[in-house]
Amino acid sequence: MDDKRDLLDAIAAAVRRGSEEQAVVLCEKAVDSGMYGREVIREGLCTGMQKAGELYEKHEYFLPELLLASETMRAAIEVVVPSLLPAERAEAGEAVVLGVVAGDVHEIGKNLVAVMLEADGYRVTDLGYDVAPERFIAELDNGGARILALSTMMTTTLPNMRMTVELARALDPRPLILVGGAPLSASVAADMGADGYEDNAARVPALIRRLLP
Amino acid sequence: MSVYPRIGGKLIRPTMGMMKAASGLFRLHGKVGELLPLERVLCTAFHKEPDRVPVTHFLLGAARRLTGISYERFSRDPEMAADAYIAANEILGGDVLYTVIDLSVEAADFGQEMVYPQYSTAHPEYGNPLIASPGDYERLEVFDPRKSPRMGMGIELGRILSKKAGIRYPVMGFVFGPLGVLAMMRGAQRLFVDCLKYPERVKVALETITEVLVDYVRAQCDTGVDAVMLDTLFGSQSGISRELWVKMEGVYAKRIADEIRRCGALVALHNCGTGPYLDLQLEYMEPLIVSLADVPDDCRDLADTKAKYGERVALAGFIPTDSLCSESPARIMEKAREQIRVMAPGGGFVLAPACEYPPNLDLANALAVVRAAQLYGRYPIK
Repeated sequence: MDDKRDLLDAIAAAVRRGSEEQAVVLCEKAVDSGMYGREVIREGLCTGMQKAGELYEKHEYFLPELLLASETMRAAIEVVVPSLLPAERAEAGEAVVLGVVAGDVHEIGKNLVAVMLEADGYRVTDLGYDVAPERFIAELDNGGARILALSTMMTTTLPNMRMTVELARALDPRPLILVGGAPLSASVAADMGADGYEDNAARVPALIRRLLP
Repeated sequence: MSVYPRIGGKLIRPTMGMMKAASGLFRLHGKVGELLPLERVLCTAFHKEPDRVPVTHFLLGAARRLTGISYERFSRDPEMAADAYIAANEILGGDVLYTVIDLSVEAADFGQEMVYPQYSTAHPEYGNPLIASPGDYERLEVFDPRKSPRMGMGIELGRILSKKAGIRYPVMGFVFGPLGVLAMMRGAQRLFVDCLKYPERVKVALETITEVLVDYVRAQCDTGVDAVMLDTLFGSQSGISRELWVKMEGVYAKRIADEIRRCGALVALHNCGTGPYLDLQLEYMEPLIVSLADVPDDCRDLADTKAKYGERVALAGFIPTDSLCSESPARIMEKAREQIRVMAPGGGFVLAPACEYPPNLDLANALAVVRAAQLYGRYPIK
């Protein structure tokens, strides 16, 4: 039991430090030892990413450290995924459709939100950047997600964000719509009809927990 | 011709001591009459109370709408850009002329493929970064910015504005910091990770970029611009850590700032990040004036910022971009009035938007910023 706990802690520490090679080796060891893949992801990789997010919130980590941790987590997940049992694969968290709105290509914030949500157990469909409103809507329709998260870094693309929120609302009032990005504030978000706003990627999972019944 | 004479082709500028002495005279003049924008800004830069708080609307791309030109013409034609900037000051008011075009000017001349949208700021083709892998950092080469299209335009814009501004407006040249330029060629996300994984490779590119930027500011100064503004975007809590900023930008930005000073121009700084590392930036660049969007990482609020830094450097800001996008002109004027009340006493404050005025936004809030300085910024501040 202690060995297992130690291994999961070591995996979490490797992710937090952004030691990709070490995280991959430790995950291989965990899988080879017969540990459940979902457990390795949740208690090792995701825990490490959440720790990195906490350090980011405390201004002990900054974007480079957080991005390196997220790269490490993604690389190590690749090692674990093939070992997931069918039952583990079917275990699905709440679905989120995420992307940067049309006309904008800045995706660091969006990428960090994606990885923080994944670390918290959400199933993220990342549509990338420069995403037309219709694509967001189509993805919500197809995947049955209850959460739509939009990002933009530019004032010139704020109208596209507003258009996406309005279109989504007009077609279906139910999804929880979150927005974020440099030119936004809570009042701008509320004014365009969004349900929530957050300026820190690490706090987005907590925001969803607060807002989603 | 700028306002400065040339002897044997060399621009002759007043020394810092002379400018400081002149600012004292302007302060006295400001008590009985209206100062020219150049006089007002100089007073402020040397922490003397002028006739009123100087103001800038920070219209960059938005200025093109005042002369009815396309974004691409604004981004590529120095005559047209100069006309737009002067129109912005003449129509809206404003005490400073900038030569900022966009943040990808320098990267474009290193060879980064560009996109020139019809209604938005020019930017790199992010799908085709010039530095596609860590091995590419060594590929960058030094070139003469005077002979390159976009930096050449920046230099020409400085020359035109200096000539047209005469003794009325101060003209502020512009250079994006080395790390920002590199982000435009690599993508910020990749660059941030590379700074941790391959710092020595990144530094090779930063050396090359800095050599070109030092030459770029030298060429700008030679046009007669009064100051050059360095943009150190990532030197804040929304960018990279303090330690990493020193290693990856501070030491390079220092060389650029030193060159601006050696040329006799004033050093200005812009940082629109959250929680900027103002103490570090003062240490490395020693600017006379700093334009910020947020209070420094070691300050609680504007009053604390004024108390901690108000005597060391003139501060410009702090009307938030999101407020400009969402609030009424009346509310913007209220915000500006409060900032003037806190920041302006004793001089050393320029009222300004936190960052570039949003290019496609209604101009009423730009006018509100200018009007607030005119109405509430008269010294002594009430």
